[in-house]
Amino acid sequence: MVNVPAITKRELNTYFLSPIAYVVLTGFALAHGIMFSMALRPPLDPNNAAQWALYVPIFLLVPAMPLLTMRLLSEETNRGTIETLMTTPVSETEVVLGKFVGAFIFAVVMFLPVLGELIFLRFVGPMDAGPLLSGFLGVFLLTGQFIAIGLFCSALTRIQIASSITSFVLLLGLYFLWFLARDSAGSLARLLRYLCPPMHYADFLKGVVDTRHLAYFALTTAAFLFLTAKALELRKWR
Amino acid sequence: MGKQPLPRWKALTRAGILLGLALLMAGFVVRDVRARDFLRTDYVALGLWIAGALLAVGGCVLNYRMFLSLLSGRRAGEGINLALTVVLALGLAGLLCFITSRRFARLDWTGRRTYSLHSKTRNILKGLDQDVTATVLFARADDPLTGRALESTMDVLEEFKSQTGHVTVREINWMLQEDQGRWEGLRQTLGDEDVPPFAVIFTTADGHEVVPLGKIITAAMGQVQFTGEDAFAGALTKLTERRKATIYFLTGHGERPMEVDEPMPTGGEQATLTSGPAYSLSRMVKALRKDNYEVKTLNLAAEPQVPDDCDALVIAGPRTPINEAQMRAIRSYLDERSGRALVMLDPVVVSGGASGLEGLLADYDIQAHTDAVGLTNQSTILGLMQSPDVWVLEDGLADHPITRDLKNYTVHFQYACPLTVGESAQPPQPGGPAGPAPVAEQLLTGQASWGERDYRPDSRRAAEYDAGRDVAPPTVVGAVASPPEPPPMGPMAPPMAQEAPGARLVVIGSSLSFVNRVVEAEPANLYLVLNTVNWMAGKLHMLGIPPRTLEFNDIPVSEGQIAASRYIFIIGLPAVIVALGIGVWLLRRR
Repeated sequence: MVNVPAITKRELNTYFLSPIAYVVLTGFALAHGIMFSMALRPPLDPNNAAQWALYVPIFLLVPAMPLLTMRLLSEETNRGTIETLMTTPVSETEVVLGKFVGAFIFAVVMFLPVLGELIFLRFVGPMDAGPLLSGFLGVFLLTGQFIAIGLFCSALTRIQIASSITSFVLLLGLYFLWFLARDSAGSLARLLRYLCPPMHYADFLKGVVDTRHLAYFALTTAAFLFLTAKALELRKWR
Repeated sequence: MGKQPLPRWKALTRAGILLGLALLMAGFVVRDVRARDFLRTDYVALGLWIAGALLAVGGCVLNYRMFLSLLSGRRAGEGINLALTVVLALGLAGLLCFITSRRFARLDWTGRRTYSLHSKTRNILKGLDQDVTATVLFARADDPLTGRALESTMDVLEEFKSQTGHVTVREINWMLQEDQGRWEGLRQTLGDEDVPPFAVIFTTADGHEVVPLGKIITAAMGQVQFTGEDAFAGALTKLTERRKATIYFLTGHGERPMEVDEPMPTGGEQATLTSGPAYSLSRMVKALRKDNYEVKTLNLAAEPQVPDDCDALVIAGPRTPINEAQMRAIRSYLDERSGRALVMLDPVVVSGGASGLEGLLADYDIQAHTDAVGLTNQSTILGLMQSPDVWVLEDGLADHPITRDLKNYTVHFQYACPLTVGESAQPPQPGGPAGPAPVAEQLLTGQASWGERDYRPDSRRAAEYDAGRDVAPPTVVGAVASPPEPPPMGPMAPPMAQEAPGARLVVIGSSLSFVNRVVEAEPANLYLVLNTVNWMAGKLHMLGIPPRTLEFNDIPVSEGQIAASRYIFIIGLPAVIVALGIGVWLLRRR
């Protein structure tokens, strides 16, 4: 894993020097600001407003994450640099982890405006720190999962826009599982509900850290990273 | 030589394999969404399965050469290896998800432990020895109050599930066509009972309890309060306890009234302090009934003895002496029938006279100094003043089942008489307590108080501790005498079935501290008396701190503040990021 930091650094350089990153950052900050403002109505409960501020990413990450992850492996394949990368003494796992960590750090920077909003709320009135911490934990777990899914889609194609659309559809599909199964009590419906990320996210916002949700996010993220590494491995045989 | 184009029939049959697999999956989805009853045949799903199976199997048979060539190809071994690795890894992830969804813990990070169950509820759940199904009956509505009730209800029931494997939760949306079957099944279980449109119904093999919305969410003074945890815990207790315990309150000696509208007997110098509806014990009685107790009164002038069904006797601040015959009945109950009694004695300054219980208490090695009042020095802007209050803090609580859960609370006594333990001047009488010799111990101690024997409420002279006359600090205001504790049994065992024979006596040097006015302001006082009664009645699973209501408070903010924040978050922050992007672009151009 010694090569992971080097790949991460390379990814971060690429991110912060590319215009698309600033477009995503600005778009996220603007959309989040507009949606957050919807919760600002007197009288204000700072805890409820903070919960809403941390709930908004659940809508915004679906379009933002595919844009952020679409180029991670597709661009390398399209330019042919993936072959160069693979001939260096780095494993597929290191490549995948390096790119994942790079994208994750960029996403953390993307959430700085949310932190600003929470600081504003703190000045309005007293706030409970526990739900904020668990809320951020939930946001980061959700972000990690979405990045892993985006990375996997990026590994499947050399066309960036195709990768973006695939991961967008996949993420949207995960959300629609809830609509499909929300009023049903069958075992398949329970499975579909289990696979739906918002079902696991809501507790974090309240200040409840449930080991079921931790396991869900950790295992699905790990599974998609594993699949991405295997997708890269598959290229060797083509 | 170029590759031969795939014949059309082969392409179609290969697509048929995929279509068949899709139809099989669709059959499962349709079956799951449409049919609630597992044994009922769903013909649409059956049709999809048959069509899917025919297409998939037929396609595989017609393309068997393709499968053979895939398996015998050069890269087949590596491909199968990769496929197996992926399948195994995903299977392992699925297995771990399944295990973690069955065995889980929920950590509450909120400052006020909003989503943590209270110790009493946890004890009740841990003591469950039978399966309980909690059915949440609701209709999806836009009403925010119902929405909040549903959300909070599901939160609490999730916590219930995390505490015990005996609770199963299911939801019935009675407006949905799909849920009608289960709704009808539930109505049959409930019989003729009216079920409100929103309710939580707890059912066991033996019965059911319905908790309506009115007990889950209450609105008081414009504040919405969630009282569901308390209501659900109460319903579980009623449902799972094998016998309803009975508490008798002694009457006929000017004891504190159990109900608000009962007249308060006058007497004592502090009569004005201790009369009126605010000085009845109705809140305590209501809380006892919620804990599934039958609460009755006992007048020993009319009854020759304490009734056989008495699980605990409460003597709450008698103001006139209990006569010899009645004392014999109480002694007989305690000594010969291993009875349980809670005695609340007020100082003479409040009660106006002796109660006649002093001799009985001495038999259990407890002395009540009713001629003194517990006083505490308080620093005020006018200097050091004395008040007839005794505060029992954490260091004054004994390590006893009654007080173990009160560590984070302060128990506040007003006009309490000091007690002493283990200094009885009176030798045990013949025919005294039966069974193993009871052990008396201090339960509640006010470390900073003393027992003032010359207390005059209207006097302007500051009282001071007089070593030769007053009861020395610290002031004991609660004592307990009981046989040595037996080894523990199942917490839901019937009351008194799990203890060694022998009386249990709890003495508290005040009844005033448990009246409505005081317990409203000092909830720990109510918890103390509930824990005492539960301990005496042997309901150890009911010990702990009961749930309190949750309230949500809004903060007024000005329109100006909100408008400013909108400019900052919608224009200011995005503008900063755009400026950063332009800066990076300009730097790169150079």
